[in-house]
Amino acid sequence: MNRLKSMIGYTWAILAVLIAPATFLGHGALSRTLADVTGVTVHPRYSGGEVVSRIDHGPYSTSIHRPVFDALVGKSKEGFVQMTWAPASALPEWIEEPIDYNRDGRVDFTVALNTGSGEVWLVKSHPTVVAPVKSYRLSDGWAVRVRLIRRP
Amino acid sequence: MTKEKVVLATPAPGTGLPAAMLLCLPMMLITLMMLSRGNFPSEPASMLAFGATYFFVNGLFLMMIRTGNTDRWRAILFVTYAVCFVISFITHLIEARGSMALTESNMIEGLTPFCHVVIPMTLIPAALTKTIIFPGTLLGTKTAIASMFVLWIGSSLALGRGFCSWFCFFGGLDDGFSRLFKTARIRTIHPRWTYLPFAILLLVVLVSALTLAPFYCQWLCPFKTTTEYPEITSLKTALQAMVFMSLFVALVLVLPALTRRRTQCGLFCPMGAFQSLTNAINVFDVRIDPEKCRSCKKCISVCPSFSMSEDTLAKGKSALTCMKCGRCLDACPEGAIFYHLKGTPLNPKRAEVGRRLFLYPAYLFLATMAGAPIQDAIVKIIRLFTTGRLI
Repeated sequence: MNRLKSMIGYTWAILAVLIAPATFLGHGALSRTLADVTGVTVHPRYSGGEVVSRIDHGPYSTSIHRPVFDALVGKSKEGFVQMTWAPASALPEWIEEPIDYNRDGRVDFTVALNTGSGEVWLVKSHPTVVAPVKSYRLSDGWAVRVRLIRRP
Repeated sequence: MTKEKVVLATPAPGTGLPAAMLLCLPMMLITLMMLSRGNFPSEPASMLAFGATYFFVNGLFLMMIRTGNTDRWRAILFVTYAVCFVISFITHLIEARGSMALTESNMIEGLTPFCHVVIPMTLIPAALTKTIIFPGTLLGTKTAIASMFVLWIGSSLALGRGFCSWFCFFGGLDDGFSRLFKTARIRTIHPRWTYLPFAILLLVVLVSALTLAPFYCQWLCPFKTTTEYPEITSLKTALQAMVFMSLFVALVLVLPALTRRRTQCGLFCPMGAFQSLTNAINVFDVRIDPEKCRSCKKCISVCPSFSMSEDTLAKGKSALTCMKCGRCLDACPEGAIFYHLKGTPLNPKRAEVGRRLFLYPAYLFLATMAGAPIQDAIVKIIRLFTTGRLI
């Protein structure tokens, strides 16, 4: 038993010498493998959630992300929906757009954005829409998050 | 509990130059590959930076092998690494974003560099929601989330909490300040303080899971002062900046200087506490020969992570929080402290073998991690002297 323990000890120590360069050299492939195997993603609170629909306006497009109510367990009462407009170079100075975030075929709110100043206006048409959270100037466009409450 | 009987030879004498050179050869070859990444620089400043870094890194390793001292040489590279990391990181931020401040837009775009200290806070949400609660990117950059996880897993498997003395790009700052004065102004720190990082770990892990936000990064990280901080746009962000600066001054500058200990790492850092747990499964530990130990308590007074006490001396091994920096090994006048491989016999002739087996992976991690920021900082300093501009 002592001999086996000793062998394991030395093997691990030698493996440690190999782990060091392997960690750095195989870093890219190992990172991708880790991401694939675990299937983790960045929390939608930060990423804005997956894009569920895209509206093409010719020179620019609007991406509507899925409503984010993700909590540690289950869903939270409050959440948001994110809209992104890109590319920045093609955006008009004033964007006004009706949004159907829950995709029920009816407009839930109309959002207006001044792409010069970042000011946002919101006209609510659905009781789950609360207020605009904020506008964000991105490297290639603008994003707006609108606060929502979840209906039971 | 049975005490293992250990008989150690006198402290490892230095190794002769030819033998030391021979022992350094693998390190010289691997660091050549790791520092160059197969692509030798052609621009004069980069060539100079590469050459200087290569000889600096390998010169220190040669001294480590030749003199038998560990911490003395490790600390030079570790502190240089931390200082160069700060120079390199800040200049990169300013080049890329124009400021050290992180805007909410940067966060939404996933442009926040991920740091290993966040890891413990992400684990519960990752297990329950399969998501990482951090405004970064998963793949594609050196500071992406998956990249830092890979580096952390590799270094933890190889070193356990040795991570904190041979890998962490922040540790060198309080390590450096802990060496500012020759004697400690504050000598006694009550052992109960050593539980504080574990309490902070528990707090930040739970609060982060409940709020789905990395609480330590938002409110407690002293190193925001030397890397990036949320753009000050409100009372909340102003308060956050004040907390970051106060903690940095207290834990990284003042207390290490006054106590000669790594107070941020040993008394506050939740990642350090988390890494202590990896010591339990790591193969390397630090042992004390009870027959040679004369209880001079020098190791207790020099240990930067509060891992040596009369209790640990009696047990014959350092505490779970040991960072394996080697300061106690260098300080022990009897050579009674040594690196050991768990499961292997405590053979006096094997003490130096154990040290070398630990040094190769540990130094490879340190040299590779330190290489890029040191080279980058040298290039930027050359640029500063030749053009008058750092950025």
